[in-house]
Amino acid sequence: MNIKKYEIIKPTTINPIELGYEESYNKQIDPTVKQLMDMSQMQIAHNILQDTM
Amino acid sequence: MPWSGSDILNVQDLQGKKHKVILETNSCPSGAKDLPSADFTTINDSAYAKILQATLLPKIKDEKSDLAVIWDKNKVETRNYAQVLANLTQRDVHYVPLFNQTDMQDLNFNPHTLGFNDEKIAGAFRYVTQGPWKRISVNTSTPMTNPIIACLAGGRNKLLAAKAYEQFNKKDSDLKISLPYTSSELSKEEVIKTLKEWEYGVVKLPYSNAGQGVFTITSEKDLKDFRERVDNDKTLILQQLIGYGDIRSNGSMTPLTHIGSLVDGKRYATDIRMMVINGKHENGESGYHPVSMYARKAENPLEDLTNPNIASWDVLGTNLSELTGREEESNRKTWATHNDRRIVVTKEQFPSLDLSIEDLVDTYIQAVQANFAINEMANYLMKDGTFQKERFEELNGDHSIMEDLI
Repeated sequence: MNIKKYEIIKPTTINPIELGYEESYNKQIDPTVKQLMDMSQMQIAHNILQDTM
Repeated sequence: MPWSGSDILNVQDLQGKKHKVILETNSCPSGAKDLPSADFTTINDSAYAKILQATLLPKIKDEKSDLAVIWDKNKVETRNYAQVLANLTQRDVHYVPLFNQTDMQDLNFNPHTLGFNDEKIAGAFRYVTQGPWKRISVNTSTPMTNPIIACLAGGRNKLLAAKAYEQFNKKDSDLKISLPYTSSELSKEEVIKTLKEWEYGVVKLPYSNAGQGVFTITSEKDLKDFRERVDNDKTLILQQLIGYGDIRSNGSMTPLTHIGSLVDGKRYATDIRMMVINGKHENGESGYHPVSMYARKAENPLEDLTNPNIASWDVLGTNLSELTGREEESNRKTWATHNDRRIVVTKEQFPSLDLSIEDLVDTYIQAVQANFAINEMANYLMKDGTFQKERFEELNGDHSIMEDLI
């Protein structure tokens, strides 16, 4: 018989805030970083074009 | 390479012009846990879910078999990837430590089809960082993020990363990857000779990571340490040292110094980890997108670079991982993490980096270009799902790695 030497993870309920860690746990993201993370590809492309012109 | 994290320095030249310079690009990057979580309303808001949804899930065709997370480092994040993967797919996820050959035997692991104890796996998320090609076949057809070729093509191989960047920068385009001036495939003696011209430099071993095998050389003591610790037959990479004040590489390159971060009135060398994904996103867009970021500062402030009693690595090295030894029974490597030097992008900590949205876009673009370059190299090295060994041997100056490939 094979004995599992590792864990099997099953679907469960997660509070998404728990996916933070120490300093990031339940902390607010800086608005400048949020602006980057929320940018669409068109917005980023527009930004690059302005940079290279 | 659908997922990567680039380590990027915010630096300036002697005219005060800012540059974002790629230090290296990692194919198993940490950083998903660092995205501040207060605004997460569902797990889909997390970097974990975005990475899995864009890069792994679209590749999984087998709708029944279990999935796996295979790992050898970063238990916090890998455990979270496994949980999020289970929740997103509503399937069981095998959370498999694969540190060494002993683990492979104990688990009856098949490195070609990624099966465990003869159980088939529909797809795997891989966070195996230490020579992953020794434990998982580059030719495996099991869907996996990231595939092993991502590591060989530059994600864990600094020799080929340098070549991938060089090829990218040869293109007729205004977009270029900013890099420290680099001489690769040097012998130890060639490094020492070149350092006489440059005065200062950074020497890297090709396949090491997490700050291991990197030597910052600013003094005779550093040079002696490098001479003693590195074997004569190693193939090495020498890079321009980005320093502070007059302590920086000189030669035929543009001298660069750190802007870094300002913490408690002191300036520190700091690198930015920018994590990007390339795939199909929740909002319907396809292609590249930023997914997480954080920064890491050195232990001592830049002003200490002139202090002969302080090691240059403590002023210029930004890695948080420190190899502390090996476990007695399993021989697994053990690591400590210096979280006190981590800068998370919260409202409180991010301002110390003094980065505008333009700076962030520049940083992101550098990370995308680095990923793109390594991806092109990976595509060149794989043909119809088969590793092109001859092409790899031709490009990779160090042939000793061939013996390690499964």
